[in-house]
Amino acid sequence: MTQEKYTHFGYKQVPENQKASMVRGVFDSVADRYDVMNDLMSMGVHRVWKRVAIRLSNVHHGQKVLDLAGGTGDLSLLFHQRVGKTGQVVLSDINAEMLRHGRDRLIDQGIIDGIACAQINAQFLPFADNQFDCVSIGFGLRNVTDKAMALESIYRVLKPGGRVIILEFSHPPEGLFKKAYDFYSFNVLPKIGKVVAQDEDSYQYLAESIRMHPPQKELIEMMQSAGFERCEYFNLTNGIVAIHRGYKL
Amino acid sequence: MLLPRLLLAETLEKLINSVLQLSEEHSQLLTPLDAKVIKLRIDPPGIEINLRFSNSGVQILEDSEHVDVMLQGSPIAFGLMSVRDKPASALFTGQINMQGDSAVGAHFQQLFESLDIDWQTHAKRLLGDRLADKAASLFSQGKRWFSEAGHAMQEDISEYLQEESRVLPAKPEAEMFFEDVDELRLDCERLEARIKRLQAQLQGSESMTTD
Repeated sequence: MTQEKYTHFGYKQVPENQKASMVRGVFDSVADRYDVMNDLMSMGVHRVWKRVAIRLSNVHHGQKVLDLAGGTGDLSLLFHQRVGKTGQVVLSDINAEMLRHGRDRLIDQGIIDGIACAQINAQFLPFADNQFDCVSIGFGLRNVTDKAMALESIYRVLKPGGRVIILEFSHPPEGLFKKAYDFYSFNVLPKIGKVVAQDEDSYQYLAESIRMHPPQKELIEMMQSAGFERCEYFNLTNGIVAIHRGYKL
Repeated sequence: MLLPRLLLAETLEKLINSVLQLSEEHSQLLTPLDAKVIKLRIDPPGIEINLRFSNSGVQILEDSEHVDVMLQGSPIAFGLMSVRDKPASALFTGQINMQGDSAVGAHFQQLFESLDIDWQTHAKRLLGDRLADKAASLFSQGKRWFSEAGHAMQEDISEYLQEESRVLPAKPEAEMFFEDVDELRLDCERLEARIKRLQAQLQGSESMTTD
């Protein structure tokens, strides 16, 4: 008899094979109001975080980028501007509903060439080795069931010299700021979710999943274990968000 | 400092591309620089900017493993290079130091030289015909006034220094002085040669008597 493996889903422990579908449930529920909620929750600052991530990716004209957990396509749109007509961006998400929103948004903006959409699980990337100059995962790694596996998969599809950009909620240093942030996350955020997205539970999960995500230095170690080199992280908004960058050399 | 630096790079990139877009020939001008990376090192304060060119514009990169050419100089030297009629002169005078592929460096300087922007037409789009014409006329008058005033000031200063205060000599006086100096230098050289010849002769006769 094989023993069932467990992983975290927020503060709960759930069987590993159920996490992906539970995460899917969360994002199916919020997909319609996802962009509005992002603006409300971060007071618009998420746009700056994303721009900084694009800058740190060092992506330029003609390059190939894979945007994992791309959701409604914010990062893909910015990458598309950087790589130009000669480049290629793959907007991907494990959640079909989020991806549909992203694809519709691109079409509404008249962007048809240069961005492909694909429903992808970051742990099992359906690409040949050494394909992309950059792989990004924005606010998605914490929802991945097996992060180590996802990082190894990302490493495999990157070209030598390519880099991974992980934009994710992280851990501010202990102190008054963290206390205020915790109060906001567990008391204000779910209420905003309840009013705007009619879904308090999903935003409770968001706050919990952020706390369960590895701290900055631990994630660096995970990246190094997956094979990445020159790994570093950049704290934004006092560590509420961190951008991790690593290279396949 | 990360955030201000990256946001500044983004703003600068937008500014450069906006200026390039104003030239109708920008795509043609950028073609020789396509996929080239130029590193500008502005020293002081020790800022490095990596410019990557393509047919459609310029991108500022956070870092670049491959650099085609590096140009190093002071902010003033780069500023002067961008406004000079012949930007290459900044290289010959040593104000800007170039390392790497000189052809790429030359194309980069030609970009400044060839960038012909019809500012008046673009100003008309923004301000309308009347305001743009007025602005252009004011700019032209201002430029002429500065040019004339500069020329007059230069003449007045040289006249004061040479004729009134006599701190500096007049041009013919200076030329006569330099001719005298040249003549003196030649006389000295002749005298030095003559002394050397006499010394050689003296040493020759001394060695004959000892033999």
